[in-house]
Amino acid sequence: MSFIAEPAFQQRFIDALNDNEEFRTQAQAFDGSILLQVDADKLWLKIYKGRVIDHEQFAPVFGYTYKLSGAEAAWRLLIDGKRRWADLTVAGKRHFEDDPALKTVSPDYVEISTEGNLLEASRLTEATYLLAYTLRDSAQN
Amino acid sequence: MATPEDIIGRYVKVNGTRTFYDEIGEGQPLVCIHTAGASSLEYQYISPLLAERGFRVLALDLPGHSRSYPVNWQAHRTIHEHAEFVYAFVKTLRLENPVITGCSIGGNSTFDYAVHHWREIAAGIPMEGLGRSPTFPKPDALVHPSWGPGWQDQMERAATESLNWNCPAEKIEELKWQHRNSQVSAVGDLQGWSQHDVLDRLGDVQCPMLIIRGDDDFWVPRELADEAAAALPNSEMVHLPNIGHYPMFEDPTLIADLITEFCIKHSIIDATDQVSAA
Repeated sequence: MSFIAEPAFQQRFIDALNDNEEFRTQAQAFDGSILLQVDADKLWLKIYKGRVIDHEQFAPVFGYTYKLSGAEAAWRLLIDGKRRWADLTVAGKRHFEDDPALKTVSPDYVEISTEGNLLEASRLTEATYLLAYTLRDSAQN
Repeated sequence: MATPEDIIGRYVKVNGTRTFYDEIGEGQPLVCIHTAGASSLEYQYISPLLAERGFRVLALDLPGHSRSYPVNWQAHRTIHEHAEFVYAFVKTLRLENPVITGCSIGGNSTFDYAVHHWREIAAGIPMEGLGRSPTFPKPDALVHPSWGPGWQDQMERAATESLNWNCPAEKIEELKWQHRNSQVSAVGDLQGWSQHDVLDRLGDVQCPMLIIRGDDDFWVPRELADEAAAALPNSEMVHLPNIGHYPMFEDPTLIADLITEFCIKHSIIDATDQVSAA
């Protein structure tokens, strides 16, 4: 079970997000849902006017607006302060510690992927960054 | 002591395109090329320091950025277009044997400039640039605002997240504003970055090259920077701890000293020109 499946973490994260005034501003014009997936574990967040008003540990039958997913090892890079959100989510191979001969240079590689309604995800760019760093801080606590 | 307020802003027509540049100092010409979606403002802190060290610093706004018009109302889409425009800028101002420096797409432009015109420059100093830079996909769709409504936020985050990990909040805010005048051209800049590849031609470059890279810059992998340095016959590679994607903005004194020492070592400037700096 990954960190995102822990109820105590979920509540701490949602409370922190709802206390984050900048997130509330950035997500003010959003009525939708974001699915976070860490390995196979899910946290679905229903967001309305900048606040998380519901959550589930699965995606409801009506789905999600967009999804952020990756292996727990990738999310840990964020939580442990080793990588920034931009580095984890913008496609492109930029780390070659495991490939000094540079055989895997490829722009398609991404560690935490964004899927679903990409226009809404684009519109929510800043809100998503704030969500990611709130998640990081909540997971560190 | 020179300050950013001593910088003089000027305009010149380069191949018919109204072009803005900042200028300060006298002596060895040093042309500075900014990063994607930004402007000469990125050099406002380092330029006076370099002027005190014997350089005539000229930092232009690339076409379509801030106060420079785009060429024929079209944003550049390749690094080579940027580099050739800078070459035309140098010719228009009749600068003899300049040092060319640049950061990010400006660093890549410095590599491209050196490949094509190394006989006419004293040295090239690419910062956060690469011989080839396939570090993210070509961002074509972002040129249409309705296709990428978050483009401004994405670009600002791409910039500020690659500053060093300890960068003060006020510098982060300043860097955001430095990226708020060139949204359309920034897409072309990044298309150019993603397609840039002059690696196979770096072996031709005989002039001295100083490659500067910050360890906190995830956009510029150490291995790809080392690859470019290894391909150059006359280069030095410097990896800097606690520096990100904007070395001249993050630590202008350190970078001014590195540039100066390199240019003294290669007899491009004279150590006795350092009177004011001391």
